[in-house]
Amino acid sequence: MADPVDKTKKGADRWELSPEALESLLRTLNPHRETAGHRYEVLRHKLIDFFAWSRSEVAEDLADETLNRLARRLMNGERIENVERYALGIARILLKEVARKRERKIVVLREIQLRESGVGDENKTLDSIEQCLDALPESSRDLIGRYYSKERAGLARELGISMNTLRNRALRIRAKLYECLRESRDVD
Amino acid sequence: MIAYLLHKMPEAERDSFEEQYFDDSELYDQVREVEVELLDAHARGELSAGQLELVEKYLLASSLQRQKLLVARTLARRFPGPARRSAPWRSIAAAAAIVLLAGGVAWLAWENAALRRDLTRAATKSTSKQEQQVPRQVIEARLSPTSRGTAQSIVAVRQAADSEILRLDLELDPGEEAQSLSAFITKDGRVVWSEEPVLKEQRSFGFIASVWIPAAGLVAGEYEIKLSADGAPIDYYRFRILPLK
Repeated sequence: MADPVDKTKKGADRWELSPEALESLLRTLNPHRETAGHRYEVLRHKLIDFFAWSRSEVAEDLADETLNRLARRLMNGERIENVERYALGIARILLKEVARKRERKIVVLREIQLRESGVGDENKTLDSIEQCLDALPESSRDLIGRYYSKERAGLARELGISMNTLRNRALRIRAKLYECLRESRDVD
Repeated sequence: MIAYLLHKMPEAERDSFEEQYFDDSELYDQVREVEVELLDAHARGELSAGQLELVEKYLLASSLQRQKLLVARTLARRFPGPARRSAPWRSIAAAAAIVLLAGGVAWLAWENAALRRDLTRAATKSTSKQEQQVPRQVIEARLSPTSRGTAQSIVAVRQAADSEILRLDLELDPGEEAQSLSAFITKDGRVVWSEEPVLKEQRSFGFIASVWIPAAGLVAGEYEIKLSADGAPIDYYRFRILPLK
């Protein structure tokens, strides 16, 4: 069995997610690969939001670190009944560990990169969002536009769906915009 | 949920709420929806100065979150929505509260005052302070505190199919109306709604504290309301939701 520890990183305690460890984590989430993948993505988003709502500047990094640690514990033979709750527990510990001081280092490093950012950068982001909006399927764009422009209960009735379904559709479209923006940011 | 996102929730409840949305993806979606509503309100200039400060402090603390705000701004610009009279955040909160399922947490009592106005747009209201014509979509119930031990302390409420709001008038003991009140509504130990501060009104029989809850999210069963003053519980009320006709 391949060593799950990636030794490309310095430090004995630096552990990166190997393919085997990821596989182990997915199997724990669900025996069916596709379901496991979906559950993994949902968990990752919950972790990102947890850190973001806890005012962390590096929410995505901390979410990934949480999943790394979770996978590591599984590889070490730990039995976990409720993966989501366990991940939340790790996330809470990580939040305390990181603390302001260490985060500030990362933030400072990022701020060095973003030092020239200002109105220009924001305009660039807004342009990216507009492009993402234009790239949406017309039906999605139409729905989100009417969601804002029209009384929502009436819109749901017209579409023959519940408010809950309408809300979830609007939320999914929003999530697509966030994802599109993130991808355009990564490309840049 | 607003209380959670804007860090107005006590830490123990915050921990419990986090566990709930990690377990329950539907609840998680509801929290995300409330986040979206707050960011949209920010983008549309519908937040008060106080709320703006809190949203910027607690929801926009990272570049990731600030990008969400830029998405909200783009959508606000592209889809301005219907013109509003002095478009306050409370109108948005009122509309959002209607569509949210049980588990939402109302944050300010004046937002609930707007809930009455905006969610029941077609309804008429009397200008009388004492009596108001109840809009068709509002179900009302008056509750006495359980400490009085009266037979009516557990009120049964049956929803109508078109009900949107449940308004609970909590009878106050003398002196309680002078305090700043908050209310937490729980079912099976889980908080399904909260309000802080709770609006008080004087009636012919004394003072009441009104709690407005979106009816859509209330499932049948028994509920308890904990009324607190300055964080300390002062009264409990109970009510039961009966199934729809």
